[in-house]
Amino acid sequence: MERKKIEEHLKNGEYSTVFSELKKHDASAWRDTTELRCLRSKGSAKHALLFAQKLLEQLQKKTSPYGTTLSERNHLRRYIALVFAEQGQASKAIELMKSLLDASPGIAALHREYAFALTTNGQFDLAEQQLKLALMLHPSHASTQAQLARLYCRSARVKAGYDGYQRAATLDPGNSNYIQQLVHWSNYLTHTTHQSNFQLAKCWSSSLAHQSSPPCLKDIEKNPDRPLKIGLVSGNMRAHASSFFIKPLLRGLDANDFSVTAYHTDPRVDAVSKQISNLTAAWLNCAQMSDDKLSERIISDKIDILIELDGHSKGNRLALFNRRNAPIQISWLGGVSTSGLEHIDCRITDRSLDPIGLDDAFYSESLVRLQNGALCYEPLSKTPDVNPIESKNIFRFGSFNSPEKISTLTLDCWAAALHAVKNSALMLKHKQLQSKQAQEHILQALADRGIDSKRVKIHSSKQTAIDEHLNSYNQIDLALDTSPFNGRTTTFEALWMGVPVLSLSGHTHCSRVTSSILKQLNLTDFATESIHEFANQAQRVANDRTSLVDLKTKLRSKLSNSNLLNSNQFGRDFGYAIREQWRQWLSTKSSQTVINNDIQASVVK
Amino acid sequence: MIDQSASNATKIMKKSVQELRAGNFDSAVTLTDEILEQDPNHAGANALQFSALFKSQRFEQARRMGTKAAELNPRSVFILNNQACLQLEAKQPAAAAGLLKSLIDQFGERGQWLYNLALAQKMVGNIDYALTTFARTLDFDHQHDRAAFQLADCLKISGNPEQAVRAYDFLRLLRHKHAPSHCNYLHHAVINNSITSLDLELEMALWRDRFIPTDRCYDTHKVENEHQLRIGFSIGRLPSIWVQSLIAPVINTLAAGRDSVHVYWHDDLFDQNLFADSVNIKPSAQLTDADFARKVRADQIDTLVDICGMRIGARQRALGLQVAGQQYGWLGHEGRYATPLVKILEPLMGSHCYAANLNEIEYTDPLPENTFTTTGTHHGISNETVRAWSNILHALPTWKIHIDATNKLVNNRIRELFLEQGIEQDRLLFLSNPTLENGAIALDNITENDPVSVINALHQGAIIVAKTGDLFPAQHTSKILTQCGRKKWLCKSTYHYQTQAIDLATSVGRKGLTENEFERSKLNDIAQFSQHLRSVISP
Repeated sequence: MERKKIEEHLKNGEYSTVFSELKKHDASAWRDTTELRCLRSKGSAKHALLFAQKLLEQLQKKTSPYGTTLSERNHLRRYIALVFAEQGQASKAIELMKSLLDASPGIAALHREYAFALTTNGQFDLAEQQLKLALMLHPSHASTQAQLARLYCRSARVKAGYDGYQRAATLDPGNSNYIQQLVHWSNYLTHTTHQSNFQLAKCWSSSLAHQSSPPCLKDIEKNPDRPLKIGLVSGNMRAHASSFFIKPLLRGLDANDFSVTAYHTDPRVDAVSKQISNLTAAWLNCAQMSDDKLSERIISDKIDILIELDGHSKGNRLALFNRRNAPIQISWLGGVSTSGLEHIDCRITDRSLDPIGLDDAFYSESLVRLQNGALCYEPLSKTPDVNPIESKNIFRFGSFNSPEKISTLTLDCWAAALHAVKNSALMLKHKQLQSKQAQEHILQALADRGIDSKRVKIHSSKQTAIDEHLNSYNQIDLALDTSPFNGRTTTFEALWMGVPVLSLSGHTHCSRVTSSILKQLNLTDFATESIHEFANQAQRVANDRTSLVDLKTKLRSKLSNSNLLNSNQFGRDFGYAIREQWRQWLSTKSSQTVINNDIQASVVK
Repeated sequence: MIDQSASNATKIMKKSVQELRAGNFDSAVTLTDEILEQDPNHAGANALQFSALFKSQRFEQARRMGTKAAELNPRSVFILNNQACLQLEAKQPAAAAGLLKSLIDQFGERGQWLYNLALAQKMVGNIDYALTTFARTLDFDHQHDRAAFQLADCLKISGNPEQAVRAYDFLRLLRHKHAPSHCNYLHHAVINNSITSLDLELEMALWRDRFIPTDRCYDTHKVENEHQLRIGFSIGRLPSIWVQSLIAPVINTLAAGRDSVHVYWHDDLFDQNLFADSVNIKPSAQLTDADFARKVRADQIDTLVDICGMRIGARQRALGLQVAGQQYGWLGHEGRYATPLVKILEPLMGSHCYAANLNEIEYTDPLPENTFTTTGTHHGISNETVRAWSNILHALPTWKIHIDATNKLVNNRIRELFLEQGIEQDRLLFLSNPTLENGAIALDNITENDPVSVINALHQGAIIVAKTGDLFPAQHTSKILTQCGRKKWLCKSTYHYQTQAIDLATSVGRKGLTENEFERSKLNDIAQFSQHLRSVISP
């Protein structure tokens, strides 16, 4: 078979044909490169790595069984480096790519791939430089724009990141992933409204390939009170912030009423996954499954209610919900805005997060509001005690939220609080703050707001033990929230560690999360409505240390005794809500199906 | 016999429907004429001919036919909608709005009807209603790009600059191959400080890559006579006060000399009266980029000065073809051009960058005591600026602020923005060009400067509180202050800006520029400025 045809097979994902045809060709640099590319594309990580190592050795020792030109050798090196970067051997990849770039600095793709290797090695700032060089050489490369956008987002420059994704989306409008990134990141921007977000979400859903819904509604026992089969689809059923909310739900749901199957869509499985798996009736690792395969599986499992937990966030499988996999499909937890999908029937929320009648029109789902809040948190079983380290001279503000959430509005709030409390400092802590670009951006933005960088302490150690991390809360007096994307797990952690959280509420779901939590704890003073109020409240708290100390000592028990940690109550509310959905579906949708079936039957006749 | 003619009519109707669907409107009209000759009250033929006339843009004939067609087909939604469109076309938006409203009430909401209704409301001036209805149109059809454009425009008009930027951003997602949509976004992002300078560079590179043909470029022609240049000015949609005070006086002065001066005006809102007879005015809003390029080449322009950048009327594509021997960008640009074939004038002009003719400005009553005046606020203000000004007002509870915005909608929005920052309405004044005393304090718009209002304030002896931004529209004031020797007034940061304003307000014996100092700054010397500009653009 000609090389061109083999390339076509590779492009079409017909890997076994490629392998078998390659065997018929004489050994050559092209054959090895194609085989390596095929192993990469196929996802055979181990084989790709072994093969790449073998090829590199051959190149270094000049023992290749065939003669090669410099261009062929460089081409091969490029793919070897990519495999190394993908398989966690970043330093090797970096070395190889650097030598390739030194030889050909004018090739945009090399800069891009070098940036990829640098990113996998955690060298984000250098990666950013390389991507900018790549874009200067080839501005119309959508994927490079998206890569740079991702780096901007994770280093506190979400607006620039959003613009980068926008450029990627306009360059490659057929790529729904870029539009989904816009939906996701728009929630972090100050001027996002439900309406603008809804438009983007619909734009995304219409960019998905049309999926005909499989006939999954047959053979369903139409009993409103029978035990229901629930399916949870998420990539975060592991050591991830979402797990703090998934576990209490599973504990709270009545096992006699609901049998839960977990569809875990991330390849990472850890101790937390094990805990979650123990709380479910069935567990399925489906990271490698395509949407089609997973859909088939869910249908064959006869799931009654399928719940997606990741929204538009990283690693989501929302596109799976672009078809009907179960009679009822629900969105909860991860989605901070609408999914934009017509096949997601409803979304679990509460009155604080989505006040009744305000923005219902901007959700493609109907909103189901739980009585006692849409979030229930489960702290780790072992956490440090609340043991504040006193500091008489300086009032210490802190925020341990990810830099992605540090918007201009957030910086305005923080600066206002720091101005209001003269002798105060701000402690920021997050592993992503390692990026020098992120640090400089934050310090510069605060300096522009009149805050001396000496008043800001940035902790950015790579990975700290959870105990150590939580213990850091003992070093701060008042936690400052981010806005418009509030902290969720971070807010709970702060409260659990006895640190009140000062928040600015906004107009969107994600800007009301902290205020929703605070309201349930009767800490409404801490949920402010303007920057001015935010600063005044910070000043009030700082001036009344006695009340603050008192609150700190009581906060953990206050939280423990609230509905926010009451998994039984939450499970009951949640169970009641989804049971109600089931009953409604039986009374409406199933009758429609009957009508449709009748129509179909008459058409056949 | 009757049966035969009826079946004939049915056949003709079928055929004319086919013709209409195929876009052969004239043929559809001819066919329906055949039926109407036999039966003038044939409901279907009337309706069909009305549609065909409307679609072929024979509006006058359609209008004559509309009433009868509607009477004969009282429940035809197409006819009612087309009638409303005709009313819109005839600039009768109120009637169109009424018709569309009743259409929606009767038959429910549809995307196109909502769009037409919103358009009618916009034409009437009911921008709030139009905003809601354009948004509603997008709820029905999120890919309705015209609704997306109108929504962005309404947001801009109503003083929501940040949201307008987002809306323009969404629009370019829908019109990803449409160069003007990208221009719109870029211009608004720059004037609202919604983009970093590095990203602007990337955007411009991208724009060039996508929209400027690389395989076609004119050769530069040789300048015949260096002392008698053929100078072209390419003007897009600019604030009218800029054209009146900054641009037209310079062009008129140049045209009074030996050069031949041509003005290519790319905006429908064209005011020829501002220019002297010696200026060759060439309205070119309707020209395509290629036609415009051909026109400039035919006029043998030696030096083309672009005063548009990415604004409405942008000619970046033509500039990328090197339509003139030398190409410069002046005043209206974003600090960067998509093509490297345009040189930016401001850095080349050194410290003498601005001159304004202030003779036409009329002043009203004096500004009340303890009141800040502001500069660059005609078209609304960004949240960033409102926040800075609110902080100043919080620190000075007895002070007020005057904002020079005349549009009621914008004023309402400004009130809302201040209220969100805890500043009550009674601390805001919306006066029309008040007289300033020497030593008055003028707070400059942080994100988008206005050279005319800054020069005007300086002329009256005001002290300007300003800071330099990263992007060109936020750098005019700093250049003006440098030109008049008051660089020391510039603040290093937003916080410094706030403290400076507070310190000034609480100080006594404030002094702005004296008349002599203002004269020396040449900020109102159009003749010298024009001469300087001429020497810079000389080959």
